[in-house]
Amino acid sequence: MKSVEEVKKTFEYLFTEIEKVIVGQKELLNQMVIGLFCDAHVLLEGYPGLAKTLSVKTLAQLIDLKFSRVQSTPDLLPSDITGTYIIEETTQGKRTFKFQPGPVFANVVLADEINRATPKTQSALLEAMQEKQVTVGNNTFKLDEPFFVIATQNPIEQEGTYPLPEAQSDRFLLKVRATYPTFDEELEIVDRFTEIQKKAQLKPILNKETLLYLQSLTRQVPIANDLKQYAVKLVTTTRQKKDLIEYGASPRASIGLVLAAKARALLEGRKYVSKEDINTLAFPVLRHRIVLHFEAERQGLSEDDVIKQLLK
Amino acid sequence: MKPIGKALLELRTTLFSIGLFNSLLDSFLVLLFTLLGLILLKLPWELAFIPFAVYFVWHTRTILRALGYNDVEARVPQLREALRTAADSLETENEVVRGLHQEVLDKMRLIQTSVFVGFSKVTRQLLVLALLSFIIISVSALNISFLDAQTLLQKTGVIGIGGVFGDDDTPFFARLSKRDDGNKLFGKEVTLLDETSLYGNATVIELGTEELNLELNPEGSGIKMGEVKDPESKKFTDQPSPSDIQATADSAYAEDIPKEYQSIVRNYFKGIPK
Repeated sequence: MKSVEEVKKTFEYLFTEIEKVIVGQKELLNQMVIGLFCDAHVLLEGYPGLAKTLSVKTLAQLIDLKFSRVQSTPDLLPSDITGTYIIEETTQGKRTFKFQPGPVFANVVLADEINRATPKTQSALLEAMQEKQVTVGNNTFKLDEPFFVIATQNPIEQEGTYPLPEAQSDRFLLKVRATYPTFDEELEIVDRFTEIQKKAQLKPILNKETLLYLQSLTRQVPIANDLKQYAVKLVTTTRQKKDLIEYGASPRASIGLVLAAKARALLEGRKYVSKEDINTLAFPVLRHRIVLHFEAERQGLSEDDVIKQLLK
Repeated sequence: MKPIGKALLELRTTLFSIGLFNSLLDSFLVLLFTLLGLILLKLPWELAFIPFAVYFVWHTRTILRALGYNDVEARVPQLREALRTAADSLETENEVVRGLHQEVLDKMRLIQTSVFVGFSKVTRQLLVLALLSFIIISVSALNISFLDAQTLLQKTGVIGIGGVFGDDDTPFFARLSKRDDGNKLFGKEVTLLDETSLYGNATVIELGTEELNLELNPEGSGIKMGEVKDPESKKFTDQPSPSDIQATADSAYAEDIPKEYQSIVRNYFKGIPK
């Protein structure tokens, strides 16, 4: 890929391919790709049946990345994620311990309903996300690059769940909300999945090396000083608006906002960050990093409403 | 220096020149308005340079502070956000930044200086300048004024008899005699002067404010225009003194006074003091 314009064309083609499988959810797919470019993890929140898992699986297929899925339940153990040693018997009858890698040893890991896993299991995954390595027993195993975790959460049926603490959810770059499709989109979904259909043949468009190159290209996108200050000001304001926000975002949010804005600029074929990038990405970057004050909840304000006020 | 750096420098220089030109134009308007006002109020015209200088300095600072890449981006939408990003990343060297610099350089070649000059505004300003100049010349030639502010200020005692800058004919020490600080010169009391100055008390004779129309009546003078000639050279004789001197008796003194009255006449002036 020789130029930034080619990045835009390539991903336009990629999204066209995804549309063969997924109807709508453009913003969700965009933000997942942004997370990929930033070499960061994404938290997906949405009601059941919104093609969250299918989107991730399709994306992984098109970028030729190894995909694995972990369905979180309360009885899920950390070793179910990281892997464990198993006894293996050789042909000579000798028994040895062999490490059996867990689903975390993939490039794209989909942790479904992460809030259903116990805090111990959650921390095993989060440790892998942070360190990009796994320690089992006395051995440390490095995870393959790129390593991308998409965790999903169901905003309803919160009984018997273990919500991610704010300190842990801070490790996700973006919290993306999957929305319901429009009427026309839902009609198309019905047409596709209620009739006999040929399974879409998807060929990989990108490979691992290209993705790693794109990740380095993302960090090369320049940002004007005043826009950088604007982004940092936005994050620091979350700590100052005490009437609506009890706990504001950390400096990790400033890093995430600028990096995500650069990724969005690259995705759109621009060689510079615009204010629109920052304003658009303020919502997925900040909504899971702020804790609303009781006053905001009393007024019926959501995190997005408060962020909208900050942007004014 | 990189080509983008040179281009940005050229852009800043152009913006500075345009800002200075706009400021100068606005300042000239202020100058002419003030000048007109001073002429109509019969105040010294030199005072107009004070507001001109103050306004020029303040206005230039304001314009130059406001002028920046944001201003260029507002006028040239193709460069929106790209120009200042390129300027801020001049020292950065990577593939994307190089591409951005090239892109901005290509777009900057399409910018014309006319984008930054508001032609309608400049035309209006020049027309107003021309109109004001014409009005000032007319007012000066016709000696029009609304109010003699200088005289009014002198009467009310705001300024001295010599006017705003002082009268050149009135010596400094004479003006000093009117000072209220007890005739102090550079803080020291001057003892040479007292209330009755050598030149007397300064007064002003008011002849009135009506225009005097003087008309020479050629009939009233003894000059006959037809007989006026060029002066002729006079030939003087060599003898400056008269040839003979004769005494003549005046008829007034040849009066015949009777003898009995001659003594009275003779003793008249002697008897007056008695």
